[in-house]
Amino acid sequence: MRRHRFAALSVVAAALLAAGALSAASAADRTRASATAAAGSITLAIGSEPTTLDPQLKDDGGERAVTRNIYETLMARTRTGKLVPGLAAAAPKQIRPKVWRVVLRTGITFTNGEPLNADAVVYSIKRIINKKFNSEQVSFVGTISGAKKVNARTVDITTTAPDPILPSRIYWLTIVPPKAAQAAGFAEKPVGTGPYTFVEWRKGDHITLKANPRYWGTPKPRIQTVTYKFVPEGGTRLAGLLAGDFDLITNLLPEDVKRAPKAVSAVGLEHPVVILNAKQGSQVTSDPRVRQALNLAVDKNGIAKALFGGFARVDDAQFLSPSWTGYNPTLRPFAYDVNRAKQLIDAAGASGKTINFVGESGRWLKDKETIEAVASFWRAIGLKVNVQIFDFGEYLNRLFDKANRPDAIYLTSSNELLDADRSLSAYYAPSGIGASNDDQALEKWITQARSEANTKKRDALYRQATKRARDQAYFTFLVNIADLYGTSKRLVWQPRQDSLLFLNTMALGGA
Amino acid sequence: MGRFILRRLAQGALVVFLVTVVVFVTTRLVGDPVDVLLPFESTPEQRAEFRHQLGLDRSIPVQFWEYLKDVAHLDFGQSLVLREDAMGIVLERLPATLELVAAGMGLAFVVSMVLGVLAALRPGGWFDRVAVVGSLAALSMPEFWVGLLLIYIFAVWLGVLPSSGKGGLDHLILPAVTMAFATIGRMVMIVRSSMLDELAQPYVQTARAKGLSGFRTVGVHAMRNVSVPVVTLFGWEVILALAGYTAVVETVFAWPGIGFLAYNAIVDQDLILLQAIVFLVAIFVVVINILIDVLYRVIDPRIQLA
Repeated sequence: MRRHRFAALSVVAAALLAAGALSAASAADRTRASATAAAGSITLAIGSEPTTLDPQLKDDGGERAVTRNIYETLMARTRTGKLVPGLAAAAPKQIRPKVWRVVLRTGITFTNGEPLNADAVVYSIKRIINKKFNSEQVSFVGTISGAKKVNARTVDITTTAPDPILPSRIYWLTIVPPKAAQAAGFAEKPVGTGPYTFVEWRKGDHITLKANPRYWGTPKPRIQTVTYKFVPEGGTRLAGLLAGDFDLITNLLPEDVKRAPKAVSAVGLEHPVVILNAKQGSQVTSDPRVRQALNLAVDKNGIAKALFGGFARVDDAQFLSPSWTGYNPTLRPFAYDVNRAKQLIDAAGASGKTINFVGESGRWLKDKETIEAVASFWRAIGLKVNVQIFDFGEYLNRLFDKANRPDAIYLTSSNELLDADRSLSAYYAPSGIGASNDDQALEKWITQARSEANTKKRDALYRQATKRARDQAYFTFLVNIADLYGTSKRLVWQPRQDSLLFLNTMALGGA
Repeated sequence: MGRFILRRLAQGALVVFLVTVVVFVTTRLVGDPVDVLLPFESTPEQRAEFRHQLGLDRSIPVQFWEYLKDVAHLDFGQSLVLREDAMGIVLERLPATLELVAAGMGLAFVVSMVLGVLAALRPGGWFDRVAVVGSLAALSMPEFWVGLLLIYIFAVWLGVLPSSGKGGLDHLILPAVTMAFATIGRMVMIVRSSMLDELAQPYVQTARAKGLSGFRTVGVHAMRNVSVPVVTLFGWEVILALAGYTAVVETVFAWPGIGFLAYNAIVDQDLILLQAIVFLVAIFVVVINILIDVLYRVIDPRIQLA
C-alpha cells in the first residue's frame, strides 16, 4: 500500500516536472523558431472552394478547412470534442449572469506583427456581431452583444441573456488582427496566429499555405507546404487520390473505402432523423403509439451497415453525439421490433393509413436512400407511405413552414456547437424552426436550460427533455454518420469529431 | 448584310432581355437563398435581418426594377455567396471556359470532318462501319461517365495525365476530349450522310468524268455543299457546349470555368451570380447564331439573309 502511494506520488512529481519543462520549452519557442523545422508538402482535395478567406463572414465548410489553420479561437477543442483553452489562458469565467471574463495568453502575435491582445479580441467580437457586416455565423455567436477591454489581456464579453454556452460559442469566434482586417483585400490575404500562414490563392484552382515557424502552440506544424485543391465530384477526388495527386480527400463514400489507399473516420456531427408531426390533430402521427411504431419498425443497424458501410452508429434516440454537452447517456435506441410495431399500429387503428413523408435528394450523404429505406420499413408494418422528394429550396420551404407540418420530414441535423441547445432549440422546442410538436414542457425546459449557469442543473434539464422526446417519439431516430476521409499511405492523421481539418495534426511518414 | 446584322443584334438584345426576366423570376420563385446560406438552426430573427441586409425582403417587382436599373449601368450586383461583383467573377472565369470549349470543339470539328468524309468515301466498308458504330457509342455515353472513365484510364491506370484541375496543356487534354466526345459522335453522322448525298449528285459524277482529281472533287466541290448542314449542327454544338456541357465537364474535372461556377451558383441558390452567368451565356448564344447565319452566306452566296 505504502509503496503504491509512493509510486503514485513519484508519477505525479514526474508529471509536474515534465509539464514544467514543456511549458518552459514552449515559452522559449515563442521567441525563436522551433528546433525541428517543418518539411515536405501535401495536397488536399476538398469538395468546394472557400467562398472567402475572411473567417468571420460565412458558414462555409470549404472556408473553415483552410482558415481554421490560419486563425485561432479563444477556446479550442480536443480531437474528441473536449473544450480547452486556445488563445485564452483559461476557460472564461461567468463573473456576472450576462458577463463572461476572458484572460488571454501572453506573448502571442499575429504573423504580421500585430499583438494578440484585448483590443484584437474586442475588435473581432464587435466585427462579427455588426449587423452591417451580415455574417452568416450569427447563429453561432448568438447571444453575444458586446465586448469590453478590461486591461491589455482581459476582456469582458457581454450577452443579451445569461448564456452558459458561451465557451462553446467562442470556439466558433475566430480572432482577427484589427489593422489587417480593416485593410482592403483582407478576405483574400488572411493573417492569423495559427500554425499555418497564407501563401497564395489562385481562384478556382488552389490555395497554398505554409508552416508558421514561430507558432506559439502545440502541436507544431510538421509539414512545410500544404496545397488545397477544389474537386466537387467524389469520383474525381478518389481518382486523384489513387493517381497520387492528393494525400487527403474529404467525403470519401462508404462504398469506396476498400479502394482508397487508406481510409480514416471519426464520429461525425451529422444525424439523419425524421421529424414526426406530433401536434394535436387528425393526422395519423398525432398518436404516440403510431410514432413509437415508426421507430420500432426501422432497422437502424441495417441502415448503418447497408447504406453507410458500417461507418455510422445507431443514434441513442436523441440526435446528439456522446461527446456533446447535454448528451443523455441513459437513453437507448428503440429496438427493431416489427411485431411490436404492428401491434401498436393495430391498437391505434392506423393500419392502412397514409403518411406523407417529405424529403430531398443529393444534399446530404445517402439522403434519398435513407428516405426510401425508412419508407419501406414503414410500409412493412402496414402503413401507406407517400414519399415526396422536393428540390432543396422547396424542401426548405416545407421544413420551415410552421403552419403546415408534414406527417414526417427527413433532415440531416448537424451541430457545430457540440452543445445540445442548438439541436434542441431548433427541433425539440415547439417554437423551433423545424419542430413538429406542441409540447410546452419541452419549450420550458429548453428555455430554462439555455440560461442555466449550473452545469449539473442544465444537464438534468436536457436529460429530462431528451427523455421526454424519446418517450413521446417526436422523431424517428436513425443513425449518427461518421466522417470518412481517404488518405495516401504516407499521410499520418486522425480526423476530429468536429470535422475540422487541422494541418498541424498531420504528418508524413506512414508506410 | 450590315442591315441584316443590325437587325439580328436588335432581336438578340430582346432575347437576352427576355432570358433575364425569366431567370430573375424563376430563381426567386424556386426558394429562398437565405434558407440555404444560413445554418438551419438560425433563428427567424437572424434570417430576417440577413434577408434585409441583402435587400431580398423587397417585393419582386421592386427588386426587378432595381435590377434593371443596375444592369443598365452594367452593374450586376454582388454575388450572395462570394460577396463580390458578380460579373467580375464571371469574367474572371470566362477565359478558362472559352479555352476548354475552343479546344473541345476544335478537336471535335477536325476529327469528325476527317472521320465523316473517310467513312462516306467507301460506304459499307470496314472503316465506315467502325465509324458509324463508334459514333453511336460516343453520342450515347454521358459526358459525366466519359470523363471519369478517361480519368481512370489516363490518370490512375496509365498515370500519364493529371486527374483534375487546370494547369499546363496536359491538364486540358482530358476535359477537352470529354467535351468533344458526344459532339464527334453526332457530327460524324451528319458529315457522313451529307457527303454521301453530295457524292451521289450529278455534278460530282461530271467532275469525276472530266478527270478532276478525287481530292478536288470531294474536298472542294462537294465539301462546299456539305458545309451548310455541318455549320448548322456545329454552331448548335458550340452553343450546347457553352450553355450545358461545360457545367458537367468542368465539375467532373474541377476546371475553374463558368460551368463549374454555374453549378455552384445553383447549389447555393446564388441568384445574383446565376443572373450574371445566364446573361453572359445568352449574349454568346445570340452572337454565335448571328455568326452561323453570316457563315451560310459566305459558304453559299445564293442564301438570302432576311
